[in-house]
Amino acid sequence: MLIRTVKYNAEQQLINDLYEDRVISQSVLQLKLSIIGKKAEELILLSKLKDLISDDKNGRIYLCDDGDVFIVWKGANVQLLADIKNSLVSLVSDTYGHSTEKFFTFYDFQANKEDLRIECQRKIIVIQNKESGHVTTSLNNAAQKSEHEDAIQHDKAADQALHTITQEQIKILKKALENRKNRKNLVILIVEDQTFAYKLLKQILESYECHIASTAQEALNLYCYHAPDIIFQDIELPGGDGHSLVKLYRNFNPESYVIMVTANSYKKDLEMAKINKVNGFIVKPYSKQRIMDCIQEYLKYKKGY
Amino acid sequence: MSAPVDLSNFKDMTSGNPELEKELFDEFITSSENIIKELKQLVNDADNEAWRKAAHSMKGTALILGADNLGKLCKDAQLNNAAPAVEKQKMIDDIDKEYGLVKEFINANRTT
Repeated sequence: MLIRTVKYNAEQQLINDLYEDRVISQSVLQLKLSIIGKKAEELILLSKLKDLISDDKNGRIYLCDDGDVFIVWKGANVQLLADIKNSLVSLVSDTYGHSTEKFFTFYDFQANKEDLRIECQRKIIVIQNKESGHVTTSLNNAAQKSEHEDAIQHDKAADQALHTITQEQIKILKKALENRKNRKNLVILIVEDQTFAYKLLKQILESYECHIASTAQEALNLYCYHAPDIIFQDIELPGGDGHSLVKLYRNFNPESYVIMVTANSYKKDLEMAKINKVNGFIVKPYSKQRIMDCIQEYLKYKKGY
Repeated sequence: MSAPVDLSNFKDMTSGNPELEKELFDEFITSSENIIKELKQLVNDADNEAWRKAAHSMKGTALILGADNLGKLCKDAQLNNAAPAVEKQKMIDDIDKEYGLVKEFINANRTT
């Protein structure tokens, strides 16, 4: 039986799976390899884990960037839990001298679903804080406090950020919108997870102040912090789709100027873009001229507004 | 037979910046090889969504670079993510072969 391994944006994918109820009546074991600064591949763990859950049709392994591994299997199979722990105890305690108590966190999905979501969201915010460096003090404090495992209240607030903008972010956005009036140069948010694509876009738009977001959460954070004049929005993104993000932007600032950018020319994406009344729709490959035309269209729009 | 890559649009976008071009060529090669490796691993995997996402990702980059044939092959792989393993194997073989031509072309046309 093939085991699904999630390697990219594991925490976000696990949350998505929870929302979509793919993980139902299941057990989740978190291996905190981040404590010892190692990754599953380095410890040759993956094949062992796959062997242990190979009989489980819903078995999945989520590999986080920080080394943590979430293992998911069906039901409350306590024997399987014991087998997994036993197979790893000697590795953790003998090899690295760490107590196994802190190494494993078990979530009985039915009882601890919320705790699992909070933990995933906490890890996402920690990553975003490290990468963007633009998140406010209060969000940073939320990430730091949760690191000491005594900030469930803060985590619950952060948990909301996934599908909406928090009250704190609204305050930041309002301030950014105020400051926007005094801007001398356009601020552009490029929401694109492909390095190749965003570096090229940034080059084309080098005359302007550009910020890059490569995940949905990062896009929300940077949107609130910078109140960009124009958003070049990819549709397929880790952690959320571009259409949902457009709705969020417009929720809090109906004048958000958004140009969708995609490699797909699906009818459904075009229809959704129309419903969301985006300001432009570009199918890759684009040209430098096409991108600059978008800027000119925005400037005309702004003048006439 | 046409060249595997038409770099004219790409060079226009980079404004002829040789360092940026080198950086992007390297990025294209690294990311493509990672994706091809992932697609090969996914041939016998039931995770059709992972296959689709990987193919989609490579498609976008190939099209922006100007590698239209490679982009088309990736699009076919993306759209046929539920195909049986035998067909997926053929798709990835074609992608791998075309990618080889693209890589060779890029390396032959580098200024740095």
